[in-house]
Amino acid sequence: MRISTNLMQQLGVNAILDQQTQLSKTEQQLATGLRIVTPADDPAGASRVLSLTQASGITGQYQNNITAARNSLTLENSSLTSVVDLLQRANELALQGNSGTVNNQGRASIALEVQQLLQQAKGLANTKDSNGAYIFAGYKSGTQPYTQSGSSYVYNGDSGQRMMQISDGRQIAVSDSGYNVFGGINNGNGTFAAAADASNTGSGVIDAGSVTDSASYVSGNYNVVFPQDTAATGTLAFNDANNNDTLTYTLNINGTTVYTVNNSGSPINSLSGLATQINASESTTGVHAYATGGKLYLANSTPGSNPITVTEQLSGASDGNSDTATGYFGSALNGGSNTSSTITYSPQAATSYLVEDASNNVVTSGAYQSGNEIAFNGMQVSVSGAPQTSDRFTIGPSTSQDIFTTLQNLADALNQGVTDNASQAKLNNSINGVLSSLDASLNNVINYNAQVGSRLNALDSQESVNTNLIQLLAQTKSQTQDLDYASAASKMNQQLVALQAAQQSFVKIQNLSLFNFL
Amino acid sequence: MSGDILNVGTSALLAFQQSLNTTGNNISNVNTDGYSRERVNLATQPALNTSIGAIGNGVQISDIQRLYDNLIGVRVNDATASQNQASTYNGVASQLDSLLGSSDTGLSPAILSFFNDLQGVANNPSSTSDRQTLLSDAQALTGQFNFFSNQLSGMQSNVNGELSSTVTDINSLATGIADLNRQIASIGTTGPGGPSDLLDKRDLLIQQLSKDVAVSTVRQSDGSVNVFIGSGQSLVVGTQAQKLSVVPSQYDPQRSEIGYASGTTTTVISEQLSGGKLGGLLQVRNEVLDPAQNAIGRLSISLASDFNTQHKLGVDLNGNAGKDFFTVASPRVLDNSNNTGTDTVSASIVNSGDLTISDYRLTYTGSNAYTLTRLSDNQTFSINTGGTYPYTTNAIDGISLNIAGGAAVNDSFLIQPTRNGANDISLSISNPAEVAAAAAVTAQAATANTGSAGITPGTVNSPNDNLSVVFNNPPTSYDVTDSTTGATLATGLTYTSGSNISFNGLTFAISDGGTAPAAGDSFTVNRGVTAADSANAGGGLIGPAAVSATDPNLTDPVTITFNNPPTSFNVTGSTTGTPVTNVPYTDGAPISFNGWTVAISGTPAAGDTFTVKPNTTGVGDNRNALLLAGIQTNKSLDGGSTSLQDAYGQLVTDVGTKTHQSDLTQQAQTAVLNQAQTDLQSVSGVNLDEEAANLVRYQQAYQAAAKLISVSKNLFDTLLSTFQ
Repeated sequence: MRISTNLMQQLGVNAILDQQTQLSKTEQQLATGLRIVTPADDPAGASRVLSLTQASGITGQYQNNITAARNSLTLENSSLTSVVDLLQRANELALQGNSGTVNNQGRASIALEVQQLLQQAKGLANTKDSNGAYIFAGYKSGTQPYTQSGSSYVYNGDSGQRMMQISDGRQIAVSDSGYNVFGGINNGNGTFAAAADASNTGSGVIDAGSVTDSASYVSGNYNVVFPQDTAATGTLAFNDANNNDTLTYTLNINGTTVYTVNNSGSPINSLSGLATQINASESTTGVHAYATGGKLYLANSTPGSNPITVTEQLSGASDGNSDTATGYFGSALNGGSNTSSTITYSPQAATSYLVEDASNNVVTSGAYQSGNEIAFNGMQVSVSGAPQTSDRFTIGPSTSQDIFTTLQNLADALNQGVTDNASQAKLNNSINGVLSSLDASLNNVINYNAQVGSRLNALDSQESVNTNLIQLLAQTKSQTQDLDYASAASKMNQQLVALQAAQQSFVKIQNLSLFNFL
Repeated sequence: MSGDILNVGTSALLAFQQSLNTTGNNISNVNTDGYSRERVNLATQPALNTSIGAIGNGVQISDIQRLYDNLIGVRVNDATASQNQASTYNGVASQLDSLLGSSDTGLSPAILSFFNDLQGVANNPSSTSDRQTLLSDAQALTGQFNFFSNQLSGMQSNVNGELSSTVTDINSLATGIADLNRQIASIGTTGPGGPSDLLDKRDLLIQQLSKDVAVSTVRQSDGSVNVFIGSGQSLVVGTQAQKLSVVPSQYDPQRSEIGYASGTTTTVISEQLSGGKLGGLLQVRNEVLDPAQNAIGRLSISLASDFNTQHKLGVDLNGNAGKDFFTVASPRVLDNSNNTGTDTVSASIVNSGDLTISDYRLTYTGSNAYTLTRLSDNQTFSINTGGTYPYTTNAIDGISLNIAGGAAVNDSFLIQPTRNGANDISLSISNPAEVAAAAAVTAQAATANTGSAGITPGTVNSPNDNLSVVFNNPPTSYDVTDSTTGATLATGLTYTSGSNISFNGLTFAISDGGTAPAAGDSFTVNRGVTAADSANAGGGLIGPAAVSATDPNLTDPVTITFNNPPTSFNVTGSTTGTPVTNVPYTDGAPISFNGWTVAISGTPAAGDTFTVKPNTTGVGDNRNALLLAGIQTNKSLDGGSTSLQDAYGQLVTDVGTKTHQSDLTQQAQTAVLNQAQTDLQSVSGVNLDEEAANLVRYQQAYQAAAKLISVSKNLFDTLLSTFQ
């Protein structure tokens, strides 16, 4: 085949240009260290590199988030640890104050320390982070979570819990609502709370009690009442000797007539009927009657040292001692010498107890013995010491109480002076209530602190997972886009040799011309 | 006798002189473009036939031959056209390729920093500096989108410019060819080779024309050549050159097309043209620039509208409802300048997740019927307005068309849903406090609750949630469920044909179409796109959904109170959703009213209450910021299979692949062209060695012929001396 001189030269030049293009490409790769200089070099690889870069960038941000989360949680952790220490100290102080070995003055100084703890607790609940945001205010981080309003403490935050993204599809809580940590703590044993009536005069002390059978537990307000035992029966008997009179029986309690009946009427003939009749005038008499277990019990509506007087009277009898009546309370009345009989139930050490529900129905009753269990409706409490008759203890569903109120209650209890057994019992009852609340508070805060701790652990493990992921992504990215220097260098050598060969052969061939020999 | 020798010698001398001359001409034109080597063909002079045989009379030049092969010439032209098309394509595509792939100019880093900033806001929602950083990087992101848009527009106008200069070139080449045709025809093909310098020039012009556009040539008997382009449009016929022109597109005045004048009308022939620079420019514009502009546009629309939707579900630092974060581009609708009717069409985006990167053409076919054609695959959608105007279509590929009516048959509109996306995106808010990082509602358990149940802080339902409306038996009532959250929104609502149904900020109507809906019939609203289940037995129709940001009752306070026994609860406060009394309680199940969803879990006690209220001072709330950050990896595009990053990766891969392929094509076509040129050169090219040999050969022959004359003279001299 003929080759034109021009073409031969052009082909030679083209070959050199080609080699130079390839060499320049390799040179660019070597200079940047990248196999993919523009996406056209490896379109799929370039897209993969973009995804890998993004994944690695996002994971890097997750690492920043983890650092931020750790800062938040560490601050919360240290605040909560302080709260735990503080509550433990309050617990010790309560136990000290509860013992009989400390006198009034000692308790007053303990109360001062409790006040200090209360101030400290308020400060901790209102902890701010480095940005000035309240950490226990939920979402309302610009609002001081706990403020005092009169004698109560108000939570101004909300129940929001801030989350942070620490990996694809995994968020971690980095805050807790102050209400959950400090506020919403059930008092008593967590289900119900037992307390002594403030007017109790005896030395009875009630414990926190417990739920023994949650299936039969009936939530509600109950009173444990220590009543006066009476010998009352459910019957009233008239004897109109000559059947010529209208005999009238009158029952007075604390001077108020609660029941009047005559022999032509039909008198109450049961203890429960009698109790109902007595209770109809409770607002005037201040006495409540209970009929249970074949007995009638009387108790002051409000505990106190007032005796209860029961007066039975017979009137309308014209036949002197022959007309008789036997009263409900056993008085043998007659129209002559004994028209009126009074029984006075003076306060005394209680011998029996009964438990009434919110509608005054007696749930259980029995003989009182110090320290024995009083069990009803799936729960039990025990009262020890010597309660006076008409003393009462209230049992109600737990209500939520904040730590500050608990500490305030402790300080208030410690400030009560002890002068006698009754005030000692009052102190013990108050402190017992505080102790169970302190216990619940402590459990609550420890529980939240443990959660914070486990979140911190989760952060650590996620951080190392993320670190590995970032490394892996970097490795994959490098494998995809980075240049293999060894092979690129050897390619470059080959290309250099090829270029040199092209140049040399070009010069050699161009020198060949027949004209040289003419 | 001797006179004969002299004649023979003279003829040889003349022949070889010409041969030397031609060799010299070959040598001197060794570097002339388009020159075809020539050869002197010799033949014997007619002999003198005598009784003793033929007596030779010497040599004569039969012709001076131009060595050229038309077939190979056509191959060279074709290869030139293909090679130029590929290299023009590659040149434009690789510009875009470098732009997309560069770590400095690519979109990826801007998207990444924007979303990382959102995590920063989520970490510290009340910090103004974190919010400010987010806004700055949002500004950078929209700037990056705008930058891309400008670059692509610049490339488009470069294409326009190059089309124009190429057309000018084509016209001048066509005129040159026509002129040469005239000259060649007037000279006539006198010799076998013809006027070789003119032929060389014309072949060269045709080859140069092939660089601009693929041509086909037909030789005429008078020696002229007719040149055709495209699908047979004549560019040169005899001595007449036809002019091409650059005309604005009938839809878009900014876009140049190639016009071909026939008679008084100019027809657009862009689609018929191929090969050469022109073919390469038109192809790269259709295959690379337009889709890339649409893809970037779709990316920005999808990002901006998803972000806006979520942003409006939140509240800002001042407790105000979130506003639009970005300004989102509207679809572009272009009228055909040839339309004769008065119809106007506008388009709006219903579901950015369904958008494609294609353009669409809407054509009125008469009798209230329109045909919408998706130009990427020519899929057609029929629209019948039923004669009611203005008519709003259901969403097609995420867009809804509003047709005003008044079209004449064959009127058409070009709809570009995403073309302006990257150009028109901008940041709508400038105050850092207006970043809605918090959720609009917050749920709370009452402090007096005695049960142990807790409530989630609540999420705001998005209008992008999927709704499902299912008719009960009998179909006089229906239930509404949010299938995204799994929450029941309402049960037992009474069905009234055509009355509005509003949930989660979506308002739509179901009406009787011929027959009423049947029991069990279901209708869905999927990211704002309404549809009736294909298995429905009844004839119920669902209309398009109107979207507002949230439920109108969203921030009305609502209280959930547990009944005794606490196995059900009542809801008070103005509510969207039913029932509100004796709602059965399921531990942990979603509860949805007023466009929010909460879950209560644990054991509530009778009388326990939970409230859902507007989140007014929740400056530390980052729930919405976390949801906004999730948009980065949400697979919201292409029917839920593609994330923003995936879509960007697709674009980079697509442009990269096309660049790579065009590079390979270019290399292959270069090889083909080289081969064709080698073949042509082996026929027409000058080889100096060959010419040197010829020089020697003809010189020797010339010397011999001269000797012949010398011999003849000697003979004559001998004869003369005899008579002295």
